[in-house]
Amino acid sequence: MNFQLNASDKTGQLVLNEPLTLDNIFLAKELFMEAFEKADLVNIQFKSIEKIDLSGIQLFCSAFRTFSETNKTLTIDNANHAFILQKKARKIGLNFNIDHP
Amino acid sequence: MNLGVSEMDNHQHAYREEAYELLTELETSLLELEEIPDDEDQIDRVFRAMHTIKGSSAMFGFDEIAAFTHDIETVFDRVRSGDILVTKELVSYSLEARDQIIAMLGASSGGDPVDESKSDVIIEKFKSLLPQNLDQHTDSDEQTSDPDEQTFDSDEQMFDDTDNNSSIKNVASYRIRFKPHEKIFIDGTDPFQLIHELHELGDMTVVAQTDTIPTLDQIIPENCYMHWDIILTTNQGLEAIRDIFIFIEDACELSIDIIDDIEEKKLGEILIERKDITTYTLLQTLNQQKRLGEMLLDSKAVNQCQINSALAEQNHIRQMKEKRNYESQASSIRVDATKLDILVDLVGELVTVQASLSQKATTIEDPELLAIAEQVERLTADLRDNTMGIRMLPISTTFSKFKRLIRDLSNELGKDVVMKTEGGTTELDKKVIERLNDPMVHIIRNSIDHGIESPDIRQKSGKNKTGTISLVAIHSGANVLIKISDDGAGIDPEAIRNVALKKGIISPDIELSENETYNLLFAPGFSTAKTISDVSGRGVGMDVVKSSIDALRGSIDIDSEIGVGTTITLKLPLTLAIIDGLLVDIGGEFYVIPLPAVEECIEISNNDRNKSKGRNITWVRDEIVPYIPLRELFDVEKPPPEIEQVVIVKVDNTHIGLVVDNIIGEYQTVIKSLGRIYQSAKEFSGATILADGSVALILDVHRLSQLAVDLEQEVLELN
Repeated sequence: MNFQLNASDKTGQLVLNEPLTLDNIFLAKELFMEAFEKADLVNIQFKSIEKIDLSGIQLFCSAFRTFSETNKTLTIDNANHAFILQKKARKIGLNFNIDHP
Repeated sequence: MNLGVSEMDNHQHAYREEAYELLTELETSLLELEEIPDDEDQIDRVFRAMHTIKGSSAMFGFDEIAAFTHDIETVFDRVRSGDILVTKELVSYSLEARDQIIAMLGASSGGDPVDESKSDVIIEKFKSLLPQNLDQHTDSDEQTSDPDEQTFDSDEQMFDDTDNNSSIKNVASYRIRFKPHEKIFIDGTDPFQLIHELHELGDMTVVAQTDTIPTLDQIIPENCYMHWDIILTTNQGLEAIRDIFIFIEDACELSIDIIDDIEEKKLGEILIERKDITTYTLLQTLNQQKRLGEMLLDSKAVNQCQINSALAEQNHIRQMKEKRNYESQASSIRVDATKLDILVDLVGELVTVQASLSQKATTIEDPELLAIAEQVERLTADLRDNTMGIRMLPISTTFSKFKRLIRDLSNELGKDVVMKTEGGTTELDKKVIERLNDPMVHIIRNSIDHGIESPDIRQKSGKNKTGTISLVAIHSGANVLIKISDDGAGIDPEAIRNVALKKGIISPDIELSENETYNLLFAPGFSTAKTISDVSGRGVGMDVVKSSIDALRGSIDIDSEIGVGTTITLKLPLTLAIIDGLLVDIGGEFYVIPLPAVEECIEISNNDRNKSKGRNITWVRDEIVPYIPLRELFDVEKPPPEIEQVVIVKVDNTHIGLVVDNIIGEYQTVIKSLGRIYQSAKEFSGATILADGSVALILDVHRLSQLAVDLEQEVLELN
């Protein structure tokens, strides 16, 4: 997992390539925080992410709330892997739309 | 459980029937899934089918099937939970697995032995689909992914396993409000698994409440902030729900309330019941003009999450109500097909006896007896219609089988073909449907092999590279029309003619209409295929197709346009058990002609016969119609009447006449098959018992039509 900032236009890319589970949720939160603090528009890229648990989904919800409350933008790219997040979210009763989370 | 031998046999028989049915549904679901890979309903259906097959196999000693299915079920459980995506590969492996289970079932009932190595290969294929870190399941994974693994030793569980939705008895809806304590993750409990287990109990609507999740700067990510409102409709009872939360009762706030037996409620009622608002707040708010939800939000009596949750409950109950209505209508029981056949036979006997009764009552002229006979006649007619109705099946049961055929065959031939169906709800007698399978398979194979072009050829000719085969069923009086169309290359009549000439089927000077040319395709040994493939093109088949359809008392018609496509229309009777017939008399013996084939009746005298100079032809409105003098064919010795009757029948677009002595009238004909001794009597398709107990033979108009044409040809050649 890593965050890359394009300082010129304050956009960034958050790459998620590890399970988003309780085991590394703190690391993920740090990256989300860094992204939020440094960029106005962040695009999340899922790369071969295989597992997301509830703590991961919760972190997504928190991130989207944080970004939207400060008029910043958080988007998700690569629908194939993002599909796992969407599906898992739906199972627990969250209407999680990838295009408009 | 301790079952006796015969009881076990009965269970095994029931198991096989159930398994075959499930495997048929499984095939349909897999093919649907191939088209819409994220269709969760189909994913659930596939999983449930595998799960039930596994459970019942283990219970009745089919251990190999149980073990084989277990691994596949595991993969589909991962698909359900979103760990694995549905791909074309997965569908192909699953179809292979389904075929292998059928082979295993066949072997278990004395069929060919199964190639066990094939099972291993299939399992390896499935394992290759598992992501590496998901291949090794933890114990807890196994338990949660398969929550009712332990229930297979229960008889009741056997055939409705996991199919919680099928029973509408004792169904109740529950509102579950579940708020885990913040530290629940750290305790090792995953609320997702609890929700997953609840889902196994029945139909469920889950609304996650996220309003308490803090922003990034405040969130402690290993805390749980979410809570849930869940509406569950199940027949499993309150205890089953409580059991799911048994280990975390002290680590959550939990309320489970039964909602009045699937009564649709208004939003305000739900919110009051949930104690989210008071009746006073509701009434006060109702005095305003906006929609209730908006009003409550404006007045800050509730937040958006509460409204969403209540609306979800309202929607869930509405859906359950609709579903219950549907299930009440669709409730059914399983009956052995043989019992149905016996019932139809008995009704046939009753129709015969009723006809005798009516005849006797008419002869005696006793008003009381006549009244009773009329009543019996009415009841018998109702009973007959209802009984025949029981044997009727929607043709979609056959259509769905062909989807697989088209898929596999187009893959094999490197073609891109989709199937479209229409009129799948059209019903046909079970026996007709059963006997329709082989002819339709052959026609569809021909369409894919010879009709639909390869994708590059299609593109070059400006067509969509994907070819289409349409199966359409239409009700048409006492018949059903089945149209099998393709948008392929069409049939070239010139090519047919050339092949027919080359094979000596026709003489060079003969002139044929387009329809007659197409009908040459049904000649034995005919084929226009340039190469012989495994699929078709051996010249064996279309003649068999024709005779199969004839045997069903149906007809077949071809319509084609070069470059546009071909449509083959099968016209089939609704039922094979009882038909409307025309009762005729030849030399004091009675015969039945199937009424749907009868066009009209005309008279013929000796003078008329003399005019045709020895040829068996007559004129019907300027059309020459060949006829068969049936008394000659049947060697009737009694002298004919002065004026005979010609029954004009239409078979395969050709008119022929059947000459009889007298026409008695319409007759409700219960068809009895002829014994072996009459196998050589090709002119008859069956027999029926008349009201007086005598037997009437049913004429096979297809055979007679061919005979009439042949006889006329012979006479022409002699002349």
